Amino acid sequence: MSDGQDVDRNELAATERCIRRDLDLPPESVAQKPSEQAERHALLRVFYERRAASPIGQETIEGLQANIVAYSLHAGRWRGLTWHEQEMSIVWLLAGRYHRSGEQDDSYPHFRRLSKQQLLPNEADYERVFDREARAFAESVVKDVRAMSQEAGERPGEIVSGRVSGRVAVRAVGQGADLQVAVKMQLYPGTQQVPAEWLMIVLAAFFPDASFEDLIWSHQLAGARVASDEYAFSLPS
Amino acid sequence: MAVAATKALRIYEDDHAPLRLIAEIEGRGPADVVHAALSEYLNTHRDDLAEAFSEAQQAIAKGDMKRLAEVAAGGSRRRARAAVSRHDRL
Repeated sequence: MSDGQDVDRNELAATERCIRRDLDLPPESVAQKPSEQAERHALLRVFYERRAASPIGQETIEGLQANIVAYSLHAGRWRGLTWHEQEMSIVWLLAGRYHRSGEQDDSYPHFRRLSKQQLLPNEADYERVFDREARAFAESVVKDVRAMSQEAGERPGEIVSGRVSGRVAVRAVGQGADLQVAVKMQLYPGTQQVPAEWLMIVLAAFFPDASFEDLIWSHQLAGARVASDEYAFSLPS
Repeated sequence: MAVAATKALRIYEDDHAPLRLIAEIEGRGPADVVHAALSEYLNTHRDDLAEAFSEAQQAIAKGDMKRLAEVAAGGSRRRARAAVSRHDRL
């Protein structure tokens, strides 16, 4: 469990079009982990290193066919085009090209020639990132929820708070044998909603023996109204 | 599943007029219309939510992290579609 102050980090991903067409890598490299992709191409290695440190670069690239703020990334003579999609908390490597200044196949004209559909991530690109997020979420949700439940049990009447898997803000309070849990529906970082499946997993971890039909959904935690984007859950006493 | 119907909701600007019209037709307040719609929506998806909840409980009980990840990834395609739909405004 974390208080969330030091865990907000973006996902980093390269689009399939970029990997296969621009970097000319084989199809199997698309589904590889970032650490494996980084070994396949200098631009990918630099992308994962630098954009993990900072989601944006210093030099924006204008004139693209999508209305995004995109940055240039340099890896030797290779140039990359990266986009920090803040809503989704993902940094994308959208395109790459070997830089031949002044020539027609130079990197920047190439980036500008790409249509919006070619440039932006497609559904499969997003799905790969979301699947990766789901695996990371599943890896630590149970441990984090057990730690919160234990803490709430040890401090009855006191609200304990934390972030489950670093992504879902939860507050919990124990009252005797009863447990109340408030879940904020914002997925951290970014501005997405917590996926319904993730909410169900958090609840299943807090209430491992409950029937779904028995869950009480409310807007109060320990007698106080929760925030407008929080739901409180408990079981009948 | 008990659902409290007391939460303040934000309604899109464009929806205000049709909402008032529906409320007038049904002889109810706008808030009643919204909460009835939400209850209906929740009921529509109740089976999906209950299934995910139950599968997650089973995976956790068995310590089956692979299955738990599959449950968590159950919404990936839906989320991906929503993400791409946002590109219209870019």
